[in-house]
This record gives sequence, C-alpha cells and structure tokens, in this order.
Amino acid sequence: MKFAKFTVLLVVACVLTGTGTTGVFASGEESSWDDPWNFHVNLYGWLPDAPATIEVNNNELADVPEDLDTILDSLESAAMFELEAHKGPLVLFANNVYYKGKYDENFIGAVTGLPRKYTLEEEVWAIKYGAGYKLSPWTQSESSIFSDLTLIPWVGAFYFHDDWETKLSPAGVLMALIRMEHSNSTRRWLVWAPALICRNVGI
Amino acid sequence: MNLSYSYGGWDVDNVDEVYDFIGNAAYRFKMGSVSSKFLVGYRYLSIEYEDQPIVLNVDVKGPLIGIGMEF
Repeated sequence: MKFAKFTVLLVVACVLTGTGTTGVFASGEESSWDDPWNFHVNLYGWLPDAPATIEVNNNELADVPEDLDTILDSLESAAMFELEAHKGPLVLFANNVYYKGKYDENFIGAVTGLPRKYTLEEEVWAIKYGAGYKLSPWTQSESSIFSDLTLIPWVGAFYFHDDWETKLSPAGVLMALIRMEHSNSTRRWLVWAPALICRNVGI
Repeated sequence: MNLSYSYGGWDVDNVDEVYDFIGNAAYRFKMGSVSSKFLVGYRYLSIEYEDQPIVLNVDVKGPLIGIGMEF
C-alpha cells in the first residue's frame, strides 16, 4: 500500500561556503568558464530521528516518534550520496537519500488483553537536485573571513517518495476497515490510520 | 565548512513547505593524487504535506558523517 507519494518543485536557496585552500575550487577564488570540469562525490551516513505527526480534519490522529534507535533496528538497506559537477561558476548537483526498513513490535492490547503484533514497512526516497551559480561578492574584501566565502544561489527540485505499509495482527476490527478501504481506493489513509490508533491506544 | 539552506513547497503537489538545512565541516587530505575529505555535520529536513483532510508533518534531523572525493 502506498502513501504520501509526491514530488515537490523547489526552491530558491543558497549555499554559503567557506573552506581552506586545498580544494581545486577553494572558496573565494574566482571561477572561470575556462576551468575544466571538476566532480565531487560525497558518500555519507545520516543518523536522524524522524518524528512525524498525522492530522485528519484538524485532529491529531497519530504522533509517530520514530527515533534513531527505531530506525537503526528496522534498517534493511540505505544509501546516501551527493554528486556535484563544477564548471567555472556553474554547479550541478544531486543529493540522494534512500531508506528501506521494517519495524515490528509485539504488545498486549490494553482493551482486549490479546497479544498483538504491529508491523510497519517503509521505503523512502528523498532526492534533491538542481543548478547553482557561484558568486564571490567578498573576494575584494579586506576581511580575511569574508574573502573566503562563496555564495551559491541555486534553483532545483525535490522529490520525496514515502511508501508505507502497516499491519496489525490479529486483525479484528482493522480487517473490516481495510475491506472498507478497498471499496474506496481514494481513502487509502483508512488503512494505516486505524493501525496507528490501535497500536498507540493499545487495543 | 559548508552551510546550505533550502526552502520550497508553495503547494506544488500538495506540499506546503519544505525546509532543508545542511551544515558540515570537512577535513581535506590527499589519497594518492585524489583530493579527498572527511565530513562531519548535521542535517535537518522538514516536510509539511497537506491534502485535505490529511496533514502530514515530518521532521528528519540528525548528525551525518561521510567521505568525499574530488577529481
């Protein structure tokens, strides 16, 4: 079952960079269109908390405190990297985050007293890409700090894909809701909202 | 040191707002003839999605570490 799949048109943004002088394009240096192409590849690990809240009709339906421990416990695969291509003052870039995880939790329903198992499977793509233009407005500055700064305004797009699937077993009431959902595919949230409620309330 | 801030959304595809802040510091070194660097930083990504009656707010934030190459 898919939820919250969307793309986002960005953005006006800027990068403020100040570095040492060992890089090919050290900050503060004048960039020329005659410079050769220069490529940067960054591989990184991001260790985030990812709390989320879900509201329906202005009522908070779920508050999912997805912390780092939960994310690491449920991690199946992940890839994070950043690519940049520089040509003179031009910068092209793409920043990609991929995460796939499966989380499950056993608990005793507070109302029914029955053992329950809640399962959440999630696949996330977050891709930011765009183009920027290097400005070095402070190159002529007397200040040693500002002369090392490069401003890179950029415009681009952000693509975010979040594919969720939640299960609660034994299903009980939830199964009835799922069957209702199947009769109306435009109300997909009916599947996961009751699952989150059952899990949080402890039914 | 690198600081990056992005803002977007404007209701395109039902996304109200997106914030993305990345800050990192790098230690540069040579690996053979390749210019390389270690990265340490922090990233905060916030997405507010609204497609009535549903509103979804996600805040993803935490440290990052990495390695980079330039060629």
